Amino acid sequence: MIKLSKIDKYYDSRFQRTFILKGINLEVNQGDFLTIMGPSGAGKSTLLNIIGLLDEPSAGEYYFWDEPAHQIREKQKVQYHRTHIGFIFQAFHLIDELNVYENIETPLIYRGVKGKERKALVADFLDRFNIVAKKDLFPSQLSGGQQQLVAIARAIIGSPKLLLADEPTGNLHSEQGEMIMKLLKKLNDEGMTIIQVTHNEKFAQYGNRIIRIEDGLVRSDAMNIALQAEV
Amino acid sequence: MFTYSLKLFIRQLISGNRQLLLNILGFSVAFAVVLFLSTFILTELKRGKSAENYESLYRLSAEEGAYWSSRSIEEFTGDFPEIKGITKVHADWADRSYFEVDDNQYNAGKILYADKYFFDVFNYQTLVGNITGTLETGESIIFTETGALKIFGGIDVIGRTLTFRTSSFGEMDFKVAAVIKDLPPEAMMTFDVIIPVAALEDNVSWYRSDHWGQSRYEVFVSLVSSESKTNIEKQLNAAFQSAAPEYATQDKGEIFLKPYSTLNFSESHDGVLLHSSVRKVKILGTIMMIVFLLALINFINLNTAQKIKQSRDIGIHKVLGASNWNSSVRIVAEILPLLFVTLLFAVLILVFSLSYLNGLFDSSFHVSTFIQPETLLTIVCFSIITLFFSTLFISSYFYRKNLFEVLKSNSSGKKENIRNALLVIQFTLSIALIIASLVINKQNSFMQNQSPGFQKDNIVYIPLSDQMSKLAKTIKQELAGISDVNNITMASHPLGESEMGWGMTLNDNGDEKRVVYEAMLVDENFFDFFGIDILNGEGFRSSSIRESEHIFNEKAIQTFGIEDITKARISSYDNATGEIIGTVKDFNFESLHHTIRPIGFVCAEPENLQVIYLNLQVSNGNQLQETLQKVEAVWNKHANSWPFEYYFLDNTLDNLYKADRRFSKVFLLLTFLSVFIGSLGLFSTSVFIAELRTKEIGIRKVNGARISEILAMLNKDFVKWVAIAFVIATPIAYYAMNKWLENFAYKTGLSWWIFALAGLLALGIAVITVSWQSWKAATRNPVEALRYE
Ligand SMILES: Nc1ncnc2c1ncn2[C@@H]1O[C@H](COP(=O)(O)OP(=O)(O)OP(=O)(O)O)[C@@H](O)[C@H]1O
Ligand SMILES: [Mg+2]
Repeated sequence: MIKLSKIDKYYDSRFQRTFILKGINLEVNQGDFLTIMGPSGAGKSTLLNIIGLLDEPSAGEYYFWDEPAHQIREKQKVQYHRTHIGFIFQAFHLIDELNVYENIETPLIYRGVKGKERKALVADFLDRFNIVAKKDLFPSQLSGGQQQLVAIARAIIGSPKLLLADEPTGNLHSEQGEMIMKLLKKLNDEGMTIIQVTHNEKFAQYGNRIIRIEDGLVRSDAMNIALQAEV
Repeated sequence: MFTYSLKLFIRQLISGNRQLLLNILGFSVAFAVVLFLSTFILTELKRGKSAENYESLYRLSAEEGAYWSSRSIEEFTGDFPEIKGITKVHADWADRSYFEVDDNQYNAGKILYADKYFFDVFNYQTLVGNITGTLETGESIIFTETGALKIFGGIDVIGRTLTFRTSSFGEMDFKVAAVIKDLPPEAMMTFDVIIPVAALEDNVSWYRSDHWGQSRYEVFVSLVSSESKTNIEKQLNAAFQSAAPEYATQDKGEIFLKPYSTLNFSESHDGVLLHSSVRKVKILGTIMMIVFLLALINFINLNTAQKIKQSRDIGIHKVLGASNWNSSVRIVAEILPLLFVTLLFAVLILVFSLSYLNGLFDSSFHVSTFIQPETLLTIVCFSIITLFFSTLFISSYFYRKNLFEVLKSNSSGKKENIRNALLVIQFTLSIALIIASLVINKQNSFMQNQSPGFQKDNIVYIPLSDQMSKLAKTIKQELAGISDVNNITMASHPLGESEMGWGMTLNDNGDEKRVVYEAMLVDENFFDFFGIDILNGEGFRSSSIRESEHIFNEKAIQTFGIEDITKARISSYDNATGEIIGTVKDFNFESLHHTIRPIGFVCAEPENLQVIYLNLQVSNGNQLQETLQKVEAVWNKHANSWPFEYYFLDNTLDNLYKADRRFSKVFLLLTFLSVFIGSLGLFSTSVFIAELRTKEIGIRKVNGARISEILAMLNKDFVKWVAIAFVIATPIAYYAMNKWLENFAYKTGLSWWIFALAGLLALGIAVITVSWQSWKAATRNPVEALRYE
C-alpha cells in the first residue's frame, strides 16, 4: 500500500549536499501499526512528511496507495488529504484563528460532511477527549497538552485510512498518553493504518512493527516480538 | 464553504485590524475618485447626445464659422419640407444683466436669446405654463426651475412680471410664460432663462439689421430624417448662392450641417453650447486609471501581506483537505465584503465632498447623477477587476506543490520581487504625477505673470449701457475732472476680450484683397494710456478723422503683406474707406493661450465706444474708495438709476486663466490623493516588513546594533525603489509634459529643478512614511521583540 524504495532527501547548500534521508526502503501494509524511532534530527519527521505527501523526496520512488507519488495530480492529492490521511504534527499546527470546536470540525467541512452529522461527531470527540469545557477557547489559550489532544482529535475525526502521528503523546501526562495509545490501538484494530513517531519505548510497543532510523538510514526493522508474544 | 470563509473574515474585521482599516480607507478614496471622474467623463461624452432628437439635429455651419446674420437665415427658412425646424439663438454678451422684481435686483444667470422656432427644434419638459407660441411675441419669458426659484422663490409664477436690464440692450418688461424642468448635467445647451429674440427686435433699434455680415446667431436645424442631410446641404448652398453670391462665396464658403452629437468636441468660443475638451477628458481618464491602479496595487499588497502572515494556517488548511479552489474561494470571500464596505465608504466620501467637487470641477452633479446604468456598470467592472487581480495575485503565493514549505515559511522569498515591482510602479506613477503638477503650475504662473505688453495696473474700467454711450463725451469730461483720475481713455470693449472679428477689403497700392482681423474702436488717447509703443506714425490725435483712421499691429502689417502703409486703404464698417496711419508694437490683447493675431484699431467718436478706462492714483485703500465714490457720483448723475459697476483690468485679465487655474487645482487634488493612496500602501508594506523582521531586529539589537543602523537597514530598500522609480518616471513625464505644453502658444520650459524637486518630494514622503514604522520597530525593547515570535 505504501512503498518507499531508495528514497533520498537532501538539501543543497552552497558547497555541500546534506543528506537527511539516504536510501530508505520501506513498505507499509494495510492495517499496520508502525512505530518509527530514532534520535533527534534523524529524519523521522521528514520521512512522515514525505509519506503524507507534504514533501517530495529528492530521489527514489515512492508509491502511495500503489500509485507513484510524483504522478499524483494536485487534485488527487487534495482528495487524499481529505479522505485518506490524518496528520498529527509534532508542533500541533492548530489554526490560531479558530477555536477548539472549529479546529476539530475543519477536516469534516472539507470532507463535505453535513452540518448535523458534523455537530454530533465533534460533540462526541470533545466528550471522548474530555475537552468539552474548552471548546470555545482558542489555541493560544490552551496548555501544550491540551493543544496536543485537540490536534489528535482533529487528525482522527475524519477516520482517515492512514494516520501519521509525529510524537502524539510528547506533551501528555503518562496516563493521558496511555489513553491516547489505547485509542490508537483500537483504531488500528478497526482497520486504520498508523505510522507513529515516538521517543517513548513503552508507547513504541503499541506498534506491531518498529523501525529505527539513524543518520538517515534505517538501522533496524523488526516485527514487534513482544506484542506478538502477547498475542 | 463560502459562509465558512465569510465567518473567518468577519471575525478578523471585528477584532479591529488596523491594516484592514487602512486598506479600506485608501481604496474608498480611490473608488470615490473613480466614481466621480467616470461620471464626469461620461457626462462630457454624453453631451452631444443630450438632446432627445440629436440624431437628426444639426448646427448650420460654414467653412468660415458657425455664426449667421438674420439676413442670411431668412434664406434658409423658406420652403424645405425635409426640415422640421430651424432656429436661431445667441448667448448673452452683456457685461451685466439683471432682473428687477418689486424693487429687488437679481443676477440674471445664464441667458439664452431664442427666436420663435426654438421649440420646434429643441424639446423641453414644461413644469408649469405653456411653451408653445411663447417666443413669438416679445413679452414672454421662460425660466428653468432653478432660475425661477432663484428669483421668485417658487415655480408657481406664471403671469408674474419683471423688468430685465442689460448693459447691451437696455431695459425691457416681461411676463413669465412657463417654467421648464431643470436641464440634466450633461446638457450641452445650458441656460437659466430664455428671452425671445422678438423682444430685442422690438426694443433695440440697432439690433434689427439686414446686414449680411451681422453674424451673431448660432443656427440649429432639425431634420425630418437624418438621411436627407446631404440633400438639404445641397439645397441650402444653392439657396444661399442665389441670394447673395458674393457674400456666400467670399465670406462664408461651403455650407454644411454639423451633427449635434459632434459639437461638444468641436473647437469653438463661447457660444450657446458648452464644450468638452478632448484633452481634459483624456487627462482625467488617465488620472482616473492611475488612481485606481495605485489603489489596486495597495489592495493586492495588503491582502497578500495579510495572507502571508496566515501562510501557516493556509498550509494547515491544505493538509486538512483544502484544495486550491477552496483557498481561492476563501480569498474571494474575504475580498468581497471588503469591497462592499469600501464601496459604501466611497459613496459616503462622495456624498460629503460633492459640493466641494462640484465647485472644483464646475459641475452640477446630484447624488442621483451617480445612479445611472453607465456609472453602476463602471463600478461593477472596476470591482470585478479588483476581485480578479487580487485573487490571482494572492492565490499565486499559495499555489505551490510543496505543502511542507507553505507550512514552514513565513515570508515567501521569490514573490517579494512582485511586491517590489508593484512598489516601483506606484512610486513611478506618483513621481510622474508630481512632476506633471509642478509643470502645470509653472505654466500657469508663467502665463499669469507674463507682461501682456501694456500697462494693466491701477486701471479700472466702466462699461456703459447703450443709452449712456450717447452721453459718453460728457461723462468722460466729468470723470477726467476728478483729481485722482490720472488718465482716461475709451474703447469698444475691454482688453482681454476679443469679440469683433472683421472681414474687410484691403486695397494695397491697387491690389484688392479680403483681410480678416480683430477690430477695436478706441479714442485718441488709447495707446498713450496703455503705454503701447507706436512704431510708425504719430498715433491718433484729437484731429484724427473719426471712423476712418486705422492703426494696425505689426502682425497685421506682416500678415497682410503691406509694404507701404501710406499707399494702403482699408474699407471700414459702413463701407467708408479708411487710411492706415500707423503701426503699433505687438502686444497680447488676448490671453496667452493665443499667439498674437492681427488687430486693427479705429479711431472712433466717444458715442460709439462702450468702455471707459480710468487710470487711478492709488496710494492707499482709502484713497481708492474715495475716488471710486466720486466716479460713482458722476455715474449716478447720468445713469438714470442704472447701477454703477466697475472692474479692475488686472482682475479681468487674471480671469482669462480661470480655467487653467481650475484645471491646475483639479490636477493637484488628484495628485495629492494619488500620493496619499500610494503612501498608505507604502505604510502598510513597511509595517508588514517590520513585522516579518521583528525577530531579526531584536537579535541585532541584543548584539549591539544602534537604532540608527536598524533604521538605515529598514529604509535602505525603499530609497532604492524610489531611485529606480525616479529614473523610470523622468522620461515618461518629460515626454508627456512636453506634449501638454504644445497646446500653449507661450510656454514655460521644463527646468531640471522640477524633476529634482519631484524626486525629492517622493523620497521625502517615502522616507517619512516608512520611518514611522521603522522607528517603532527599531526602538522596541529587544526582549519584547524576541518574545513576539
Ligand atoms: N529546510 C531544511 N534545510 C536544511 N536542513 C533541514 C531542513 N529541514 C530540516 N532539515 C534537517 O533535517 C534533519 C531532520 O529533521 P527532522 O525534523 O526530520 O528530524 P526528526 O527526526 O523529526 O527530529 P526530532 O526527533 O527532533 O523531531 C535535521 O537535522 C534538520 O536540521
Ligand atoms: Mg521530528
